[in-house]
Amino acid sequence: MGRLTSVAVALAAGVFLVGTAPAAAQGSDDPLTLTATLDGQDIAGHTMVITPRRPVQLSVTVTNNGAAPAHVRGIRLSGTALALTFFAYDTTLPFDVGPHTRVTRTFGLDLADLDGQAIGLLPASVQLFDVDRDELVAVDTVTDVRGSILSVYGVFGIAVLLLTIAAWATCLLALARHRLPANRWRRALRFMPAGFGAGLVAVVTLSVLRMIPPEPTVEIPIIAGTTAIGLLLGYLTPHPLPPAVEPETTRMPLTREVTG
Amino acid sequence: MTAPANVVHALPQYEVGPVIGAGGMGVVYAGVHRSLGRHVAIKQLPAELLDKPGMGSRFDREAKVLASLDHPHIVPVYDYVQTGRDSLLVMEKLDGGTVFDRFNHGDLKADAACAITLATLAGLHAAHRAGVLHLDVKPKNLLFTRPGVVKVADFGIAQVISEGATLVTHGGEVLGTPAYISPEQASGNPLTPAADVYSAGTVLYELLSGTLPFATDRGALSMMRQHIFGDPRPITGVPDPLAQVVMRSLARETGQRYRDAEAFAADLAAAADVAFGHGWLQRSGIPVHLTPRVTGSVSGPRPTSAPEPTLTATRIEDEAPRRKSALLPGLVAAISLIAMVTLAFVAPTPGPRTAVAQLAVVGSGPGQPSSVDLSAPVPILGGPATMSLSFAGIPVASAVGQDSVQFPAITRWLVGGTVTGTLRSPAGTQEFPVLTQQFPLASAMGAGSLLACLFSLAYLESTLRTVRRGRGGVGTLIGAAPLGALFGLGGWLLVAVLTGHEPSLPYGVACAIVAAVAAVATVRATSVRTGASTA
Repeated sequence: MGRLTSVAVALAAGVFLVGTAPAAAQGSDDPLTLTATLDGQDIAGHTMVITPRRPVQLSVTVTNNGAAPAHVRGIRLSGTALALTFFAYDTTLPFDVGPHTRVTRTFGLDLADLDGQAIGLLPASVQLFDVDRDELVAVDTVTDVRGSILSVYGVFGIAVLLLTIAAWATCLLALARHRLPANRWRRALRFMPAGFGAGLVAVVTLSVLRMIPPEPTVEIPIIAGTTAIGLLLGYLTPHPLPPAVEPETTRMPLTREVTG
Repeated sequence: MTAPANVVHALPQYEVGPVIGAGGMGVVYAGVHRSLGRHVAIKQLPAELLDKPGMGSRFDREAKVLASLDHPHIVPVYDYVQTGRDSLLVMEKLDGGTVFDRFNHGDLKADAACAITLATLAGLHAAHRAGVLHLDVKPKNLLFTRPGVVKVADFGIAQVISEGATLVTHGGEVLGTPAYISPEQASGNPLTPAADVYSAGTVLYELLSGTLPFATDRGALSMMRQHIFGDPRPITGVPDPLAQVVMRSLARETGQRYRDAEAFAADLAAAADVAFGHGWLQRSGIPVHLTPRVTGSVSGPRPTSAPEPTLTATRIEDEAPRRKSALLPGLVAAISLIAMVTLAFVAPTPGPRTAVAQLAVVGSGPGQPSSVDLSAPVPILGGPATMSLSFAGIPVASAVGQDSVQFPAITRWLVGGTVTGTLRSPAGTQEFPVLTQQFPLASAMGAGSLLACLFSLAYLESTLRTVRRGRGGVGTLIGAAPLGALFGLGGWLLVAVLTGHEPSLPYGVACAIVAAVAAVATVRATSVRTGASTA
């Protein structure tokens, strides 16, 4: 069971690491620049409050500094954490941006469904796609979604918190009661999920509870760091004493001396 | 928990009370005979065992065996009732606890241990003469009456002595308690009274030395194998005459062991007489009914060949100073812990600083406490300047800016509570308290210090359990110091973060020191209390 848990954690970590690679590639020397406003407020550098029941006006201004025209086919507003997309709204809005020109498009967005999808402080982005669904340009922001705690992201964050508390409690009680594995590395692996969970709490739960806005660039280092701390603490735990002989009357397999 | 209706209906002449005990072979209720007013213990075979093959017959056997025995050191049976599925055994109620309880509370001296064993052997000898082997002699099955008389109880796996009788079940298993089982019982060989002699000798070994004759940390199966194939560790800290008797009772080969309980009792009584002096049995405070042969050993002339033992060689005089020395480290531990908590809460916070430069966070004056949101740029006055954050002299983060400074993204996860901020520019350096706006525990300083406290506490409890199991040594004392220091540092930082005080390094060091003292003293007190050798 402990080995399965370790494999699952390793796979999850791998998924997160692989999943963050495209995000890191977003910052390119694209001739296009994008400015987006939500209800008239520039989203860059601000925390955008989104109330799901209230439709919003999303305005995008695309400036083409290149020599070739840009063909925009659609726009996406999405919220992600740990490279997992918790909400996404796509709109087909074809328009062309000629060389050295600037085009602004404004449209209404009904975010009513967001109530069941997200809550709290969540990294978000507005992306423009071309006809091949390749990203042309994007702008990042932080959204403060006033959704339900029972939303997907909210339940995920609370579940992570509860499971992490349970993981730490289990590990510490096992440490106190000499119930940890005898092998030092297996003890380290026993503590690793608790450390991993602490990282998820720092990134996900704190954003769900609106305590700390997430920061995609440090999400993975935080989780890696807390996982390493969990491993280290487990490695430093003492060798458990074997179970004592119970003073109870028991049935035991018959043991005979074999001779000859 | 009150008795079920079927038990009450089965025994109309008794007023059945609450459960007073439960074990593998039965649930025991308190009861009072309505006419006689006699207090009794009513043992009922658990319902879950009723359907197990052999369990009902085991219970019947115990009833018949006990009913056939009449001895002051064997628990008497008053009644046995079978109604439908229920089997109820009404016995004398023994209110004085078990030898196991007294041993674990450290209430048994060496002479009392010998007296208990003499009483046990007297009861066993009576059972053996009646043709019954107990086969499960252990401290939990030796009960005290309120006046302090020891009685052998739980004849649940007793055997009627017959030629070639063994205790092997149809499933090829043996019954018994691994820590006290005799080699022949563990290996399924024919049994004699020497099997009970061996178990009684093991009990005496444990009561005198504080430990079992074999390693207890390898599991039950290993314990059985050690009984069968191993030789017991020589008993230490016990006068020679007693040690010789104990070790002979534990001989692996039955031919080298006492053949019966009375022979064991006679030698034990003589050795105890040598070790503790005339009148030891009366001084022990344990009433014992002896057979004439054993009585002769107790009151007989002191053997001249035996070395003159001194009381300091027994546990008698060890006991008193041990209790005194356990009190001292316990007090030191308690006082140190209180001091640590007090230091953590009374640690002063520097508060506003004197303005020495026109450098400040927007919204507050130079040197004044500033509330900042570390996830956003911090607006400053008097820039360009470098703003750094630290606690107890430990730098945490730094950032440079003209009108505002943006700390690295990780800073918001690191810093919690109140820390020390410093603004530096060519114009000067200004220090001031920085109050972070986020929830204090949502930071490495808050959650990390809480985790440090919990981890060190769990580690310390693990150490204490090691000591309680008699495995403590100098290493546990040395290891407790850093654990205590970690607890002290964690507690100091946690209190500072939660109360919004700037952490004060001298108080942190003081907390670590007194907590280390508390941890070491706690381990020492536990070690002394459990009798483990930490020297």
